[in-house]
Amino acid sequence: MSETTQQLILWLIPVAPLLSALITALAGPGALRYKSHLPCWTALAVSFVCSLILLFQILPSVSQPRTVASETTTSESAESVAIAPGVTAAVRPQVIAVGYEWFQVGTLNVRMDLRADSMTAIMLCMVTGVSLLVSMFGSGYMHHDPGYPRFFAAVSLFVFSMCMLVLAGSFLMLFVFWEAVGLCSYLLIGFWFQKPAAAAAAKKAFVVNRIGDFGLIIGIFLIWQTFGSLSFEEVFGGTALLNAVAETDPGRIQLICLCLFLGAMGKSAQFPLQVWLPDAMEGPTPVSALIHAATMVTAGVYLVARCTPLFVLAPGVQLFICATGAITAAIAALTALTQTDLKRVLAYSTVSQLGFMFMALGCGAAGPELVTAAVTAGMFHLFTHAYFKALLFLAAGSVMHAMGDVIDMRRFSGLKKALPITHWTFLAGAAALAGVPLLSGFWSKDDILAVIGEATHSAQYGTFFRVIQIVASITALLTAFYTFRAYFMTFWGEEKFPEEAGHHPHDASPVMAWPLGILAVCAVGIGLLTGPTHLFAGTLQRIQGLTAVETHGLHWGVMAVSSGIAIVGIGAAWFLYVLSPGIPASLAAGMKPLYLISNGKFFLDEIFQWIVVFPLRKLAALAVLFDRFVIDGIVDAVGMVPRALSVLPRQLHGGLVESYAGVMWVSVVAAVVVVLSLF
Amino acid sequence: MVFSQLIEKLIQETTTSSLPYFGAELCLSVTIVLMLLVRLFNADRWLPAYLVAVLGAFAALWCTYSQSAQLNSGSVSDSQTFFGGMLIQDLFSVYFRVFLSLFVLLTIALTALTGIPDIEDGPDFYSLLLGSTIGMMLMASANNLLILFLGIEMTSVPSYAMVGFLKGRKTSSEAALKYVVYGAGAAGVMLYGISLLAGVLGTTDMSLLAVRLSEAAGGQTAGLADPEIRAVTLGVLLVMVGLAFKLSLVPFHFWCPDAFEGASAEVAGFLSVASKAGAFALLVRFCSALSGAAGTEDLLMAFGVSLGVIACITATFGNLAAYNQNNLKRLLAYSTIAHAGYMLMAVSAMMVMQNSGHAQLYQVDIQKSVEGLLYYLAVYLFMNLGAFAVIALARNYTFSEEIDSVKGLISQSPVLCISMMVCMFSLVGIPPFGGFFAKLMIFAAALKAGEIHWFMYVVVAIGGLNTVLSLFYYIRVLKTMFLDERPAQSRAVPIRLFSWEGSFVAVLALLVLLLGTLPRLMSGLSATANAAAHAVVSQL
Amino acid sequence: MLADNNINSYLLVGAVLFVCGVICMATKRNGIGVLMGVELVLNGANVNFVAFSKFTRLGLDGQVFSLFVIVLAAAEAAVALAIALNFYNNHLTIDVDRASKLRG
Repeated sequence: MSETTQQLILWLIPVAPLLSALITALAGPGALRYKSHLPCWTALAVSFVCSLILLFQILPSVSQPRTVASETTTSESAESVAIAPGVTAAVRPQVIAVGYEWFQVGTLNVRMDLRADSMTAIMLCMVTGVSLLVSMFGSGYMHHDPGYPRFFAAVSLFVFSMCMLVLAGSFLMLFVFWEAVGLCSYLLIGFWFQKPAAAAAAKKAFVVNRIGDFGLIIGIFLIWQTFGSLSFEEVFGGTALLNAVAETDPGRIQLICLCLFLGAMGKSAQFPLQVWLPDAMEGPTPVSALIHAATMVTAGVYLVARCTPLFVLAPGVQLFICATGAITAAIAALTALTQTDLKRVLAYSTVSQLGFMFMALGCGAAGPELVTAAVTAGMFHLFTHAYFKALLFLAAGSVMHAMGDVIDMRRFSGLKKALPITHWTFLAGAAALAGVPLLSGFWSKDDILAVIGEATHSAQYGTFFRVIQIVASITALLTAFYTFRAYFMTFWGEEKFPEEAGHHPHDASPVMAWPLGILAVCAVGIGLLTGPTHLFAGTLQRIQGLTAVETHGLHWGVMAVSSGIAIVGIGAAWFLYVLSPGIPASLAAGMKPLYLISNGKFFLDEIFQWIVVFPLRKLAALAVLFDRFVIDGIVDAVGMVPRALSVLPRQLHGGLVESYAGVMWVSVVAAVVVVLSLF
Repeated sequence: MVFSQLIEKLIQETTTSSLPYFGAELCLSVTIVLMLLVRLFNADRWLPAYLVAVLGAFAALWCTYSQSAQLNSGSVSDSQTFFGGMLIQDLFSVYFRVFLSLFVLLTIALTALTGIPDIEDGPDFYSLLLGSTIGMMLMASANNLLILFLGIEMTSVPSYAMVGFLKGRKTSSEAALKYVVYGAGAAGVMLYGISLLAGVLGTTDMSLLAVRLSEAAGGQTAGLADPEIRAVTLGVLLVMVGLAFKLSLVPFHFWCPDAFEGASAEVAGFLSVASKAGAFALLVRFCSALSGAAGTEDLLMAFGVSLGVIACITATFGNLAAYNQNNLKRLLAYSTIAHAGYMLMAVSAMMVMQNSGHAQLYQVDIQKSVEGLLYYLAVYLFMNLGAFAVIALARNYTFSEEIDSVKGLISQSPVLCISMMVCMFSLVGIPPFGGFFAKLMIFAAALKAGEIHWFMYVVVAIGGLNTVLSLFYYIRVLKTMFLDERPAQSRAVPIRLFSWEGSFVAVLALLVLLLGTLPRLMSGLSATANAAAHAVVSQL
Repeated sequence: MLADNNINSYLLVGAVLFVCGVICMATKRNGIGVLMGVELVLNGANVNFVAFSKFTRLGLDGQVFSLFVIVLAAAEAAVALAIALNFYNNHLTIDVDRASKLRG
C-alpha cells in the first residue's frame, strides 16, 4: 500500500464523520429530515473500515518505526521517533499522516498531524465500530423525534472529535479535541433542552469537566515548560531527557502526572468528580451508550495509558490513581445497589468499571516490570467494557422505548416474554459485566485482578495493594449482584407494564435489534477471542512506553476466584429478587442508615452543593451587584460622553453646500497660515 | 530616420513590456467595450451585462494573479517602469490590482444579486464601475504626477455619475451634485498644487521628486525661508487637499455622508472601499516619493506628524458623528471616515520613520507600517462590503435603509444578522476577527514611530480611545437587529443561508472571521502585504 | 529658475485665476456658477503649467499636462452638467442651497 494511500486512509477516519456532521447540519433540517441517519451511517462505516485497515493492514506492514511522511519537514521528527536507547528494540509501528502547520509561536510549532500506533488503532476500531452500531440503533430509537437531524449531526461531530482525540500527535491537539468531545457531550446530554433536568445535567457535566480540564491544561503547560515540546514523540521518545528530569526534579514529574490525572478524573468521572455522569443519563439513551459508557468517558483512561512513559516516573501518582480508582469503584458499586432507575444503575456501574481500569493502571507503582501488564489490563477492560456496556445501555434503551420512556424498575417487571430480543441481549451484557466465566468481562476483569494480585508482592507497597485487592474483589462481587438485581427486577417476576407503554409493548424493531445482536455477540465472544489468545496484549504492547512481555499463561487461581465471585453475586441477586422478593425491603428497613446513604448516592451532590455551589452562588451574587452598579455605571458614563459630544459634528453638518465649502476653505487657509508661520 | 526609430522603439517597448503589465486594465477596458457592443446588438436580454462584467473582472483578477506569481517567482525584476516611466510595476501595484479586481468582482456579484442597475441600465452602470476601477488601478501604479491626477479624475468622474444613478430620487441627485461640486473643486485645487510642485521641481516624474527636492534645498537644512521650498510646501499641501478629499479626511469629508446616504448601498460600499484603497495607494506612493530628500527631513517629519494629527481628528470626528445616526448608510459613511483615520495613522507612522534621519535603521518598521495598512485594507474590503451588502439586501425587501427597518431582523433572517455582527465586531476591532489584527498592526507601527516623535504615542492613545468610542454605535445597530422585537407591520426579509444572497454575505463574514482565526491565511496575507510594502518602501 | 523675472507675471495670472475660481466656488449659489469656478481653478493651474514649461526645466511635460487637463476638464464638465440637469429635473432649481435634504 503506497504511503499516500495510507495517509489518505488515516485522514479518512476522522474526516468522514466530520463531513457527515457538516452535511447533516446544513442539509438536515431541510432536505434530509428523517433520512439524516444516512450520511452518518455511511461515514461511520467508512471510518470503521478504514480503522480496520489501519489495524490489520497498515500497522503490520510498517515494520520499522518510520513515518510515511512525504514532506521533508517531518523527517526530523522521524529521526527522533527512532527507538530510544535502553529500550528493547521491539517493533513499534506507527503511522503519521502529515496535516498542516496550525500555528507557530516562538519555538512552539503546533502541527495538525495524525499519529497512529497500535493503541490508537484499537481505540479507533472500538470507537467507530460501537458508534456505527449505536447510530443504527439510534435511527430506530430517535424515530420521529423533531431533533432527528440534530442528533445525527452531533453524533457525527462526536465521532470526529473522538477520532481526532485518539489520533492526536501532540498534547495540544489532544486538548483541543478533549474539549470538543466535551462539547459534543454537552450538546447531546442537553439534547432535549426543553426538559429542565436535561439542561441542568448538561450544564453540570460541562462545569464539572472544567475542573478536570483546568488540571489538564496546567499539566500540558508544565510539559511544555519542562520538555520544550508538546509532541508525544519528543516528550515520550526523549528517554534521556525524561530520566534526567526525573532525577533532577522528581517533584515536577509528579506534578505533571497529577495534573494530567486531574483531567482524566473529570472526563472519566472519578471520585470526587463523578457526580456528572449519572445525571448525564438525561440525554437520549444511544448517547448514554456511546458517549457516557463506551467511548468518551474512557478518554481519561486512554490519556493515562498514553502517558505511561511519564507515569512510570511518578509512582506516587500511580498509587494515587489506584486509590482513586478503588474508592470510585467501591462507592459507585455501593450506590448502584439501591438505585431504581435502570439507566442510573448502569451509569454507576460505568463509573465503577472506570474505577477498575484506573486501579489497573495504578498498579504500575509496584514496579516497572508490572507497568506493561497494568496498562494492558486497563486498556483491555476499556475495550471489552465498551461492547458490553454499550449493549446494556442500548438494551435499556430498548426497554425504555417499549415502556413509553419509563425507566423506573419499580414500575415494570417480567418483561422476559414481552421483549425476548431485549431480554437475551441484556442478559448477555449483564453476564459479561458480572464476569461470568468465558464472557468478555470475565477475561478483562480477571486480568485486572491478576495484576493487582501481582502488585501485592511488591515489597514497598504490598499492604496498600492488598487493601486494593480486597476492595476490588468486593466491588466485583457487588457488580455481579447489582447487575443481576437490575436484570431480575426488569425481566423476571410477574409481568407488569406502566400505563405509558400501552398494553402490548413492542420489542426492538430490526434496526434496533441488529445492533443489539451484534453487540451481544461481541460482549460474549470478544474477550475469548482476544484475551487468552494474547491477541490484544500482543498488539497493544507495541507502543511507546510498553515492553512486549511473554505470554503469562492463564491465571488459573484468579480465574477460579473471580468465577466464584461472579456466581455468588448472581446467586445472591437471584435469591433476593426472584426467590424471596420480600427480603430486600426488610433489609433496607433493617439497615436504614446504610440504605439511605447508598440510595442518596453518598450525598455527594448535597455535599458539593454546600461546599462548592453555595459559596460560589453567593460570590456570584456579589459580583452581579458590583457589575450592575460599578462597572455598568462606568460604561454608561463612557457611553454618555461621546453621545453628548456627537452633537457638535452634527451641527457642523448642516447639509448646506456653502457651509461645507466654507469650512473646507477656511481650513485650507488656516493650514497654509499655520505652516508658513511655524517654519 | 530618427523619428521612425523612435516609433520603432516605442512599439517595441509597448508590446513587449508595457502591455503585459497593463493586462488587468486592458481586460476591464475590453469588457466595457464588449458590454456596450452587446447592447448595441440587442443581445443584452440573454447576455446580461453583469455576466460580461463578472467575466471581465474575473479575467482581470486572473491576469493580476499571474502577474503576482511572476513577480514572486523572481522571473522579472522587482520594480519596473513602463509606458515611458508613467506607470510602475511592482508588488505594491500588483497587490492593489488584485485587491481591486477581487473587490470589483464581489461588487458586481452584489449588484447582480440586488439588481440595482436594471437590465437596460446595466451596461452603463458597469461601464462606470469598471472605468472607475481602472482609474484606481492607475492610482496604485502611478509613477508620474500626470498619472496621479489622471487616476484621481478617472476614479472620480464615474463615481459622480454612479452616486446619481438612482435617477428619479431627489436625494440621489442632491448627493451627486454635492459630490461633483466638491470633487471638482478639490481636483482643481490639487491640480494647482501639482502645477506648483512640478514647476518648481522641474519634473513630473515621481521617482525624481526626492532628488529634485534635495537639490532645491541646496543640500543643507532648509526651512520655509527658501522660496522654492515654500512653493513646494504649498504645492504638497494643495495636493494633499485633493487626496484628503478622496480619503474623506476631516475637514474634507463633508461629501462622504451625504453622497453615501443619497447613493445606493452598493455604490456606497464600492466607494467606501475601492476609492479609499486607490487613494491610500497613491498617498503611500506620493509620500514615499517625497521622503528621504536630504535637507528637508524636519519639514517632512512635520508633514508626517500633521498627518497623525489629521488622522486623530478624522477618527474622532467620524466616530463621534456616527452616534445617533438613523440611516445605516450614513452611519457607515461616518464609520468609513473614522477608518480612514485609522489607516492614515499607518501612513503617518511611515512618514515619521522615513524622515527620522535613520530610515535605514527603521527599514523593517517602515515596511511593517505599510504592511499594516495593506492588511487593514484587505480586511476592510470584506467587512465593509459585508456590512453594505447586508444593508443592500435587506433594503430590497424593506425598501428602507433606516436603522428601524432592521429591527428584530434576527427572527426573519439570522444569516444577515450574524454576518452583520461579524462585520461590525471586526470593524470595532474585537479580537477573533480580522479587524483586530489589522488595527493591531497599525497601532504597533504607530507605537514604534513614537520612539521618534512623541506625538505618535498620542496617536496610538487616541486610536485606542476611538476604538472604544466606536463600539457604542456599532453595538446599537446590532442591538436593534438582535434584541428588539420585529414590528408586526414591517415587511418580511426571507433571506436564508442557502440562497445566493445569504451565502454571499455569509462568505464575506466567514472571510472576516478566518482572517482573524486562521493563522495560515493571516500569515499568508501579511507576507504578501509585506512583500508589497517592501516594493514601495525600498525605492528610497 | 524663479530668479527669472518673466515667469512671475505668468504665475501671478495663474494665481489670480485660482483665487477667483476658489472664491467663485465658495460663494456662488448657482450650481453652474460653482462649476465655472472650477473651470477657473483648472485654467489657473493650466497657465502655471504652460509658464513653467516655458521657463523651467519642466519642458514639454508641462504642455502635455495642460493638454490632458483641458480634455479632462471637458469630460468633467459634461458629467457635472448632466448631474446638474438631473438635479434640476428633481428640484426645479439649480440653487445649491436647496440641496440640503441630506444633513446631520
